Amino acid sequence: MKSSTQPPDDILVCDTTAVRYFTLVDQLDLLAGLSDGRIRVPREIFDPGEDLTLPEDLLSEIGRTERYWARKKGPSAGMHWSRFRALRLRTDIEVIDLTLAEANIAAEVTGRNYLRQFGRAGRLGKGEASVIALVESRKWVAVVDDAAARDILLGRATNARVFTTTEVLRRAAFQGSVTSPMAEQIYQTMRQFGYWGPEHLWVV
Amino acid sequence: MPDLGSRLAAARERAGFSQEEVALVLGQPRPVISNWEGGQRTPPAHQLARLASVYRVELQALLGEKQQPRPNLELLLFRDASDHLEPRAKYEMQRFLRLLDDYGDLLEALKEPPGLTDAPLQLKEGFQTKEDIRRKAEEARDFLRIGREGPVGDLAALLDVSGIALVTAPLGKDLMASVSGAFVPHHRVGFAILVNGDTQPGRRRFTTAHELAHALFHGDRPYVAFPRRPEAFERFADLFAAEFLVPAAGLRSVAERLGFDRITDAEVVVHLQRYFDVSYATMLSRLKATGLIKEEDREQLRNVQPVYVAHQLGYSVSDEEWGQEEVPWGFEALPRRLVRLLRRAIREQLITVSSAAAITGLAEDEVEELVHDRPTEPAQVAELEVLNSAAG
Repeated sequence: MKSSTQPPDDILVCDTTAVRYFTLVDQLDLLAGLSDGRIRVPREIFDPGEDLTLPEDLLSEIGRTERYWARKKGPSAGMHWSRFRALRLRTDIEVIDLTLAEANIAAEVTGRNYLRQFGRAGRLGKGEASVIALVESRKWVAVVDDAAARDILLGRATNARVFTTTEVLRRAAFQGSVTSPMAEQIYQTMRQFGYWGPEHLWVV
Repeated sequence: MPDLGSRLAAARERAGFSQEEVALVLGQPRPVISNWEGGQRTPPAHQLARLASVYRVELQALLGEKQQPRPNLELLLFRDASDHLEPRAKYEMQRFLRLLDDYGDLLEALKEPPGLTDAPLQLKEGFQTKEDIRRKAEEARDFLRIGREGPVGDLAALLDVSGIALVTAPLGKDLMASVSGAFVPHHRVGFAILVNGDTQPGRRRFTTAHELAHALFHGDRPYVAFPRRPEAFERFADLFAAEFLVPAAGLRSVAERLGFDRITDAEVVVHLQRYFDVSYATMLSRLKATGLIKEEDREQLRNVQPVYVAHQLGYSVSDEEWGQEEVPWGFEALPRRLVRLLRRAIREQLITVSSAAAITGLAEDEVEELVHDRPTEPAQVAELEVLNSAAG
């Protein structure tokens, strides 16, 4: 049942960072709980049917992550790999294919020099570009941590709603899906895995 | 304006791929590619993005937007390699060029100069005698300031400080269907070397030195290396690599210090191989060239397992040398300067982690690890799991 703190029509579409960190801390259910029990991701981010023997840069972003943990050494690498591997078995992950019109939006924002107008170098990743295209076209809510992607999204669609992983975790606590100390604990573990964010979930 | 199918076919042909080859790279049946190009089916968006990567074009170009043409380096490389490239190797060479394009964009955005752009040393026609090669190797060592007789040391670091980008990629173990390396003078990055990472470490080192010869003495166009190329410039690069890595004078002087004027023992060959950091085969060839082993001993010396000998002599033998582990792909395979620039740009918030992942083709996890040292075993994982189980 949805809590009163969550608007009824939120359909979240997630970028790689959120999926990655909630998977690493084994709390993906929290992400599903914030939408309608579904975790929506573009196929550029997660493609359960993909051939993992493809060249690394042709894999989905989670596919690359899975391969990274497969080749990484260390006592916990196998556990992390298995968590990403297990994503293929989840039935609550809905993989979204972009329409040709949405692919055009993604193509535009991944253009070589597109980020320069936002004072940044490099190019946007395919995953974020797909999330931007879906939010712009379907008016969904984005879960995006990448600052460049958020800038682009808000520049293109001023009414767009964007959450970060931190905000998702806070909302999960507001909803009562997780206690406040537990949310802090999860957050600190994410930070230990490398998540960039404030020192604490609740205190700035 | 041509339709999507025609644009796909034109982009594929410009990139030098057949439909069959694209199908193999993408893991699709060939008729799928044919149907996409014939307009019978529209490729899904994620496959369009993959095709843009394979053809080294912007996705926008495939979708119909006019784009600035870029130098068609791949055709030069593929033409040079002729039938030596299986589709996956072809793709990896294309990916190498794409990496250089993005690297060039990054240099421009960060207002950083390119690396080495002109061959610093001269080579006249017909330089092929032992003495010519020795002098050219000496010139190269003087230019790099590494002394004339000793081991070269960290070759990747030498290239890095000389402004030459070094990339390692899995081009395939079978050199009959692939290449050992390539040299590309990129218009914005400067000189760049690609080395086949599927070969043994000693072979990779030799290839790197071979391509270094093109950078130092040629530098005018792309070159592709594969075994038994007959052209004079490739022969020169091979002879240069051998003399550069193991200078004849340096080898004789070490042998003399050790008290050998004729080497018949594999253990001595392994000591010398490890000292100069080359493959056992290269060391045998250099010892033969300097007259330190005789033809009759060579055959016997070939019939040893140098890895076992090295292990018995107490040398550290990597898993890769034992043939037990794949080459670790990741940042180690990329130009060191690019990695430094990415780290700096991420820390200064000029580029995001996901952009760096998009440029390098690596996982975001790996990029994050580059920027801040992430513990491999977060202490709180265990604690969290206790909390999880307590919460039911």
